[in-house]
Amino acid sequence: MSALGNSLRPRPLEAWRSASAKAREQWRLAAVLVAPALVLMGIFVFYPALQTIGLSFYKWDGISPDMGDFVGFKTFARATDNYPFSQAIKNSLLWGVVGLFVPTIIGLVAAALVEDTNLRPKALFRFAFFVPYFFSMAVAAALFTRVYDPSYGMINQVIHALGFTDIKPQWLGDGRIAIYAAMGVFVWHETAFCYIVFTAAIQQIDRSLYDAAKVDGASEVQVFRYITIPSVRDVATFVMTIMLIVGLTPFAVVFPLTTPGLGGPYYSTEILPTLIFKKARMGYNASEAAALGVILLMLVIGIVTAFLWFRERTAPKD
Amino acid sequence: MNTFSKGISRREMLKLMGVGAVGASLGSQMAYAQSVPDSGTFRFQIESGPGTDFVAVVDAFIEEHPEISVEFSQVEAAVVGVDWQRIAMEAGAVDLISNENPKFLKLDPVLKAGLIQPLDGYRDLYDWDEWVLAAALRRSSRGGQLWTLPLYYEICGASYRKSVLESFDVGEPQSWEEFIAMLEKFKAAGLIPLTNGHRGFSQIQMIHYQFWASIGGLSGPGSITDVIFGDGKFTDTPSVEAAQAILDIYNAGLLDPDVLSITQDDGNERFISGAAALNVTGTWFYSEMQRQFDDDWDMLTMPGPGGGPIWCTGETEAMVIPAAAQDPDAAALFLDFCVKGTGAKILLERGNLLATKAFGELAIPQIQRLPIITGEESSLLIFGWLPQNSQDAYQQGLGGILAGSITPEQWAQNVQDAWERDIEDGQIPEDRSDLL
Repeated sequence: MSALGNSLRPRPLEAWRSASAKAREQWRLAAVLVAPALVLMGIFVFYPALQTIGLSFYKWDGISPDMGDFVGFKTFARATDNYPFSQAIKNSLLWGVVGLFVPTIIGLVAAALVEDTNLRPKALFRFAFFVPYFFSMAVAAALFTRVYDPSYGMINQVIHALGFTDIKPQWLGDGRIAIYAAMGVFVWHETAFCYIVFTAAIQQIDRSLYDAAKVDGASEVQVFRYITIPSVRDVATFVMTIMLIVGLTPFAVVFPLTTPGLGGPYYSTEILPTLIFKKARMGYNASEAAALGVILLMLVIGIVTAFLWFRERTAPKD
Repeated sequence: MNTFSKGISRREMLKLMGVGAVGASLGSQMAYAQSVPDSGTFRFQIESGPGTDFVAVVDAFIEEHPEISVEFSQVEAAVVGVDWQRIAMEAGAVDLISNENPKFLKLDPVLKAGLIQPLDGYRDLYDWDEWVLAAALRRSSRGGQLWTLPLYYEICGASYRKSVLESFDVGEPQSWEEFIAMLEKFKAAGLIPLTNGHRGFSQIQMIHYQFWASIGGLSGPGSITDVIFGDGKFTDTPSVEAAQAILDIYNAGLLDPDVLSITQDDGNERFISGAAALNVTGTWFYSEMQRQFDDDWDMLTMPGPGGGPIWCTGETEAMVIPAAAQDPDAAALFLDFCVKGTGAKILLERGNLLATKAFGELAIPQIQRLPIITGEESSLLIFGWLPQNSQDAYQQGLGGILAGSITPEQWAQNVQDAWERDIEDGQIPEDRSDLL
């Protein structure tokens, strides 16, 4: 009997039952394995998120026993109709873009330089690039408050030592550059994470590809462009997604750098999380904080989804 | 002894009444019974900075009142968060707690939430009207009831070393012209004339209070009092002129050029090291100056354009007894110990400016001259009277003026808008005239 004939022949009932039972068994196993995580996420993620969404439609100060009136979207209008909010949105998007590209690109290039060239000793470079990640982001930011000190900080001392005695940037005091100074801490810290992930990814690439490219006379840049980058594409998507999320919510950097004048000077470092913190913890505007939280959630979900969709759409077909 | 207690404690009675741990709005509906306890235990929490003083106070209290036990803990607010007091009260974890100050930012929210109980019974029982400054009691009252007892006053000004002023042959300035001339002399000698750490806590606001008080006077249209408790606006001329005056001294190089980048601690370091002649600070810095310079220091208040020097003062370390307190009588006895007992003496000797008249003669000379002791009138120290929205607009905006982001007029309008919004949101009582 031909193969076609075999495939068309009705499956015995026992085989179907057996396959069905196996599928059910797999579903049961999956449910058992996933249930604890789902329960925990339900309690600690989904329930608070739903509660926050609900709260955003009420007018509640966060302390009164009475939840206050249902006001619909008025809380959203009130929370967004002001200068600090527009600054926060602008800065959050800027952080997102910087987070998406800067640490990722630097981390990838650094990893490729160390792994794909004759740079020695590799262990030392790997250690040096990863050192920033030994500190938590908040500790790193606290350290940088000293580095950025206009008179005694390391950066201005170096500028002074180089002979530029008239140049004395107010890194955290000048509203025009404070946001970039804060981003500098973020990039310094997060590049280390990107570097170590890309290092691991590059080490997994088949070395024979590099050898073949060299035999064909490819330059270092061409090797990086045509072998390294395509080979780490999936890892890059993961790293960029993480960086995008962290970049949209860099509270751990801004808080130590600017607290308790959070988001200053003059809202120049304001981001949505700092605004939420101020409304909820430094004042009594719980509903507005909740509304801003919902906006932040939507923003992060929207941007990350769009990014993943774009990556999927532009992925090589093979 | 509890006057309720004839076989049943107040706590048990509240439970029986179904009131629960937090007696929301209980205070206004039911009179608490207050009496001098012959035994008891109270749990006391205070922030760690000033709390250092309270270790000695608690020790002295236990020695004098062995019948009362104290469970004392100090809290590092920077670690546990700015709203630690509210959380402790909500959890029913304390019988006595320092709620920072008796102002709109701190007192009114916990009062609205029914987290604290009135102190009027203790006020009568211990005769606090005889001892505590009338203004402190008035500002701590809402709706005719006393809700908190501030133990300290804080005053802001510019600290200086007496020897430095002498070496420049200048005294405390009595006018804007004298003040500017003094700063010019410091600048010519290569000193930072006036340092101020704005980053973080926005200390520029303290310069603004002083200039504004000087320009606007103690009361009447345009004064700080008129804006906070009356019909005045932040856009009134004295407030705007004061902001402009800060910009003027900054542009003239008379204010630390690093003001926007440095913190209050950095400013203190510059002053202590001798790099800066004047340092904008307050009475909370007194003990450090005493430690650093022995008696070679003092503090002045800075006159603004067209005005004389006027001090800005504010009540602080405002103690509250939570509605859910288990032993409020013991807590109140401790409060009285800090008002007119040995506790007050200890706090005073450590350089604190107290809201009580007790032991005034023991205060250090730098304290003796301040308006709280001398009885002279003073202006409001604004911090704490502004809820979050207004405070944020006020603080961030003053930095924004120096950074060139906004003009003094725009700043004033922003603060006024935020203030009106806070009133609309119920964060500030609409009628504030009883606090005048």
